[in-house]
Amino acid sequence: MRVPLVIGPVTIPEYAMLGLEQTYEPVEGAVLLRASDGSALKQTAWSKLRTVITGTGWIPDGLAGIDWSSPQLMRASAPQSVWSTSNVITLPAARRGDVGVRGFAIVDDRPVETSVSMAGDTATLGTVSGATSYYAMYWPEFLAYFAPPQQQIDVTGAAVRWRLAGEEA
Amino acid sequence: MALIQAPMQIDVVAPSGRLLVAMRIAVRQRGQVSAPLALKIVSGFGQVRAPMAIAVRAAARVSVGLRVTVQDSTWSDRSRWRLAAEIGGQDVSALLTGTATVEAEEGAARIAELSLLPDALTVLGPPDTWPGKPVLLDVVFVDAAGTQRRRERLFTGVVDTPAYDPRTRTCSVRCTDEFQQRIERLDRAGIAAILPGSYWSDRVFDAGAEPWAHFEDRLSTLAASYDLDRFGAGRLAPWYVAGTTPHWSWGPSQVLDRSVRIVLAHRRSITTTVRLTVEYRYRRRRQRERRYVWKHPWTLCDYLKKGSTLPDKDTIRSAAAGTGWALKGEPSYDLLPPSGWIRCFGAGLRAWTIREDLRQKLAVGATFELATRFVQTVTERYRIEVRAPEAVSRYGEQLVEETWGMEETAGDEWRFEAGYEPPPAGAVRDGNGDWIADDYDDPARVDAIETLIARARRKILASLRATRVYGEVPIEPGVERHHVARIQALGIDATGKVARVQHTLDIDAGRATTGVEVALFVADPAGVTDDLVSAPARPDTLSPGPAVTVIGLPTHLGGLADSPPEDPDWDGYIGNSTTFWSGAPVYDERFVVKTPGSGADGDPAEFEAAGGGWIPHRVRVPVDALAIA
Amino acid sequence: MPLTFQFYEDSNLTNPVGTLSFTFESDGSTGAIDTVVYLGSTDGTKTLQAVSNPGVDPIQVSVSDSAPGSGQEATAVKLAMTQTGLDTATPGAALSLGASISGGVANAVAIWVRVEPTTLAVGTSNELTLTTNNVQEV
Repeated sequence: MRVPLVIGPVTIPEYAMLGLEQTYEPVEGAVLLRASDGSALKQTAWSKLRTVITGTGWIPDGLAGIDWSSPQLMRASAPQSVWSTSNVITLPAARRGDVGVRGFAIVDDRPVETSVSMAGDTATLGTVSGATSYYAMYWPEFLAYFAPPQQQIDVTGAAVRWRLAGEEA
Repeated sequence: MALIQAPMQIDVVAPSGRLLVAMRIAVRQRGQVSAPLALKIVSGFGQVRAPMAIAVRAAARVSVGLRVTVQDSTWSDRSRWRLAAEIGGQDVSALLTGTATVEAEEGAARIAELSLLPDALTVLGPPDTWPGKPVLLDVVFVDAAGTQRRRERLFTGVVDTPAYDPRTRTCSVRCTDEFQQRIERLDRAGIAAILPGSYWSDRVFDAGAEPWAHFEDRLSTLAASYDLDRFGAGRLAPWYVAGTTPHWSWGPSQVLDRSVRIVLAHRRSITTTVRLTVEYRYRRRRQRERRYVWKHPWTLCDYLKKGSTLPDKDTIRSAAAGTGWALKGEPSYDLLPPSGWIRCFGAGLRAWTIREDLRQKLAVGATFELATRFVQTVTERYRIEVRAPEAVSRYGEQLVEETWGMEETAGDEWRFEAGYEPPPAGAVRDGNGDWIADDYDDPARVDAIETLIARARRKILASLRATRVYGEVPIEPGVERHHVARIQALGIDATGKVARVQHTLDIDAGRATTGVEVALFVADPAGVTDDLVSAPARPDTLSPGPAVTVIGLPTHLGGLADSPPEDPDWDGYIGNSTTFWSGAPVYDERFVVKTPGSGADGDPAEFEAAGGGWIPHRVRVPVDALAIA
Repeated sequence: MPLTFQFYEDSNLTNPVGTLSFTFESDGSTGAIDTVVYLGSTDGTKTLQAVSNPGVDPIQVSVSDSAPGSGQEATAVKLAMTQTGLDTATPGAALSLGASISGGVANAVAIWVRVEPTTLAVGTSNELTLTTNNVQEV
């Protein structure tokens, strides 16, 4: 199933993202303090995501018209997941609404797709007999500040490589 | 001709209406034409005005919101934190960036430093308007979902110095809790009220000092520090309170790695003994009185047989009054007996006649009292040694000497203004018979000595707490300078009063820590008890006796066989017998009264309290628990 | 036209009050919290009076609860003219400030406020407001 990538007002065309990779990195104001006997205490002031999206395709990305000085709502193409032993799973609120949530039951260590019904941020997965745990997959969306994309365009070979990096606002 | 009568009914229906008069007039004439007439008179002349002022005002109220927050006292998870701040009543939490620090040191104002994003200019106005705006800084602990669970105050004060960098457009503010200004606004009674148990004497400190100097003077007599807490309320924090369990106790699992430091005291900076020499100089007003008694040594029969000159009453009186001393009352005189028969042994009855006026003039005896006043300067010296034996055994005797002088030597001239005056009320008898009144202020003496002792105690105790242990722990907003804390880590176990607190909250790194420095008293505990601060008793300043108050005046008579040569230094009555032996010296008749000088009592006198030795005052050192392993 | 009379934090009328905040521990260990606000105007030519009968009816300050029966109640607040007067004030009662208040720093009226929460349930309550009756400026 293809989930289109949306940056701000722009939906990246399929032919611009024939090859697509997205990385998520945590960026946080956090520190792991060590006491003098070695005990650890983690202190967090804030925690955000940094994402790097690289795409390859036959046509350019279509991002030239975006105002990079404002934050853009990024609807990701790469999913995140939550695992639970129960079939009722609470998902983070920063989720794409246009693409649904996919649910799986893990049976014999293999994922078996099952139905999902959403109520707010809670996903209730259809039970599957023999399932030892359940797994819900969602596509995140958040506001991020992006820098204009790096592009590598092979003019004669009609291949475009683009790279877009941004941090959650 | 008929009168037209028109009943009128006037209806005024509106304030700015017009007068409407409706009339119906019927005119009848006999016999002929009757023409009913209906006349309507509408007056258009002028208008009735009622000026009205209608003010339409919105129903306005002056109001402010009251936000009441009840926070979970059981929430102890400190791992997720945010900073919250208000400047000038406006919430600027979203504008905080970088690192915020709050530093509080014993005896100094609490200082906070914050950095703000450029939007601060829009919210608060230009930075030059910020000084004086009230500042509140809190740390907020949130749960995993981001909901605020606890909010703890770190700092309450005002903006002191803003700094603005136009290139990056970031602002930083340095804030203070205005400790010194708060003290400056108090009066003397207010300062005495916030420092109970402190001493002050105008013989030791400047009576005209400004409030801050007065505050420091009073505080220098207490073994304590006075600071504002994180809410801005003043607290007097003794350096040691017996039996206190520490407010905070941090062990190896809280004290951050590599943050423990210990500073040990220099022996040179320690004072274990203060020797106070206090001299109190004052005026002793003396009034010396003497009674003079003169009696002619002969009996009347001798007088009749040998004859003698006798002095006049006036001569005696002027001799007494001319001494320079004051004559108390009038002399009393013994007179010759009046004319009559006198029986003398071996001579039978003799006739004795004397003119009455002559008899009244002469005296065979006289008694009079003279008095004089003079001033003696007396100095009382108190030697007090304030000493901490437990510190001496650890560090040796480290001695400081102080000498203080107090004077009461001003005053009115002490003499008889116009003739004799009795001794002043309250005068006591010296051992030598003088009446003495001292210009002495005992309460001032006691205050001054007690203040000096208290000052010396503090000086000694202050020098004994130079040993400090420092440790850093994860953010603990409630640590105050009036708390006792125990730090245990890396082999060091120290419990002492908090002398310095430093909170550092770094938003970029996510690190929020508190650095705590405790001050430790170090000595060899030996169960010494503190002596109470009290001034020693006055030494005995009275002269020993005996009191000599009566002087007998002699009589020297010339013209007798055994009369010695005249000596100009004689006092008393110098006269002659009226039967002259030939060759006997004849004296110049006179009556001489000599008054004693003040003698040693006019010289300055010094008296030592407690026989001149050092009066001991012991200081107990409240040794803190310190283990270094 | 907005009123020039406001509540200020200080007697010099330099810092207007935004919101009065009080924080209590849920175990009741914080006792009552006292604070003082000043009602006045920096404009010395204005005088504040009650609308109902200007110059006669008193200006009153009271606590209004926009959600009575839930959260904190108005009886959490006591008002008085002096700090010692708070001990005898009636919880939730209005405080009368006189028939008129003149403008200027010297004429500002100090109002002492003592808050003791009526409920110790953890949470933040914004429903209380410290407010005057209907007033006008002349």
